Amino acid sequence: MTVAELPSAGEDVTLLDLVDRVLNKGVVLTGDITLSVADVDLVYVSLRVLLASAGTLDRLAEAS
Amino acid sequence: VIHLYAFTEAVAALPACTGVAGERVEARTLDDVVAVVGALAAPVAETPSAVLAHGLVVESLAEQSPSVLPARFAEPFADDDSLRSALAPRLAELRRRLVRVRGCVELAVRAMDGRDAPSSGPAGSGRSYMRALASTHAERAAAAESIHRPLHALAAESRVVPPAQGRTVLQASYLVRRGDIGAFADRVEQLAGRHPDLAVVCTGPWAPYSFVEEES
Repeated sequence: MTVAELPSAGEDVTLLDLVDRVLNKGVVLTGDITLSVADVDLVYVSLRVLLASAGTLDRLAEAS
Repeated sequence: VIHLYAFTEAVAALPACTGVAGERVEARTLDDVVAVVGALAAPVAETPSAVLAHGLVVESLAEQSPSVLPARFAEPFADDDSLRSALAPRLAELRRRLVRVRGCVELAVRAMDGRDAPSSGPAGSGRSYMRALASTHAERAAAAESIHRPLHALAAESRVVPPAQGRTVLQASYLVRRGDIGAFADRVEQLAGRHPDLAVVCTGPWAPYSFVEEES
């Protein structure tokens, strides 16, 4: 079993879900979205780093 | 330029938080649809902090308004006029969806298999590998269905993302009435208990990002 390697029911998944929504879902009015896959990957990676240091979304919200 | 965050039916109060460029969030009314926007000096790149700021404006709005349709983080509009002209042909659809999501939130459910998929070891024949793979696939599909069906029954609508490679068994979003969040969470926990091999994770409540369009 390698369950420990799975994302825990915590901050990682929550933040990934948020980023997935903000970048991949929602109403699109402009036909021309230039977000490249590489950029999105980058955002995912750096958000994970950000998350590790900054804590939950709520704490991020309070900090902003 | 105009950065678009979300649509709503009416805003009693705009979110107090600032937007992607630290700007104050404003409302633009088009008939009975309100666009929540930020006026920026220049387009903002999709940096982690901008993405978070966008998401936080949307989530704050969703906490305050019964009906919110999030907009994707996208290129900004040149000005109010180009926002209005892009919006005009979509107003009727947006109005329909705003009514549909009223009083609801999005809950996301992900189920992942803790076991490795069968690997083709040197000892295994191609045929036995294929057979093992097929049985894993069938087991996962059955598990996904047994989690999805009861959750779908508690939701107004649902959207299932076809599982990608890897260990994802189910990735789905559910549009759930606010009053039903507790019952939904209880059901997720109960279903997770029935699948000890899976990691079942529920996140939310989110603004209804996955429900801005009619089901295709």
